[in-house]
Amino acid sequence: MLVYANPANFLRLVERLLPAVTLLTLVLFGLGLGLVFFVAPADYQQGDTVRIMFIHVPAAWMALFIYGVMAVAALGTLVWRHPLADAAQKAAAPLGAGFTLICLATGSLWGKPMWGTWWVWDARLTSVFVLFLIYLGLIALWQTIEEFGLAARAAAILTLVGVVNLPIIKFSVDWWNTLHQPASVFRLGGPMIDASMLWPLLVMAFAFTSLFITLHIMAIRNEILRRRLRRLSLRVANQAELPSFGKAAAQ
Amino acid sequence: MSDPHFGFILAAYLLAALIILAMIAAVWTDYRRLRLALERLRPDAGSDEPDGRE
Repeated sequence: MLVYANPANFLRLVERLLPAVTLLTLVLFGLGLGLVFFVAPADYQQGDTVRIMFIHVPAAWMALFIYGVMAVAALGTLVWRHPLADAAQKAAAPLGAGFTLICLATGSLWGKPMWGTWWVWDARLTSVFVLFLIYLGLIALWQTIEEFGLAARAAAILTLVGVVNLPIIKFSVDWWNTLHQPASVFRLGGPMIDASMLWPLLVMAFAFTSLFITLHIMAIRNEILRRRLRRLSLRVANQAELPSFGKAAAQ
Repeated sequence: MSDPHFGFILAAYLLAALIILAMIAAVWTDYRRLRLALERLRPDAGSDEPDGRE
């Protein structure tokens, strides 16, 4: 990990890694969508509407996973002062918001035909909505504070405060009486769904994870280039100001 | 697929695809913009030269 603390080493790693993870993402999405539409059966109660679950559930897992990645990056910023931790955290926030939006929108589109409503303020839906707002808050924080180091520390603290929402999301369906169903894959007794639906779901989850990894390393690369641009702009501005400053000092 | 809720299924997949494409486009256009800006300042600035933390 320390080798890639150097941004130049990380950029070289991205150049090597990006074609492979992009290809892996495309293959996994092709395979996953093939399984979802041509292999997975219709549900005996939900009919074909169950196919929305193959994007809704992986998006929900990604919404939580990305926040976990951001929490680790926040620790990297505050505790270990890893040079790329703040870039990783900043780069992940819009992606986390995107996956959470997919989760909320597809859940709503499943809820209308299955529950008879687009939305209910039950504990699971509300806590995921709060997660979406936290992502937006973090994006806004990065945009608002100009000084990079200060923005990184403030975002890291807010991220770590928001971690409290993750167990609330996970266990909300157990702690409270919710319209949202309890966990059917990650549970103590093992998955409750049939293998014919579980495998397409897992392949789609790997596809979403691979997509996140691809976009995240691209976005971290952008952050490194943004810092380089800022530093070069300052250098050019200083060089442009120096002659006139020298003339004024001589007078 | 002859499901009565076909419209909801289609809308869910289209919406997910739209959000994913928007994320890809945002990251890619940001990269292009940064590379162009760096090349304008210094032709070799976008290469993987040693770089430090600001």
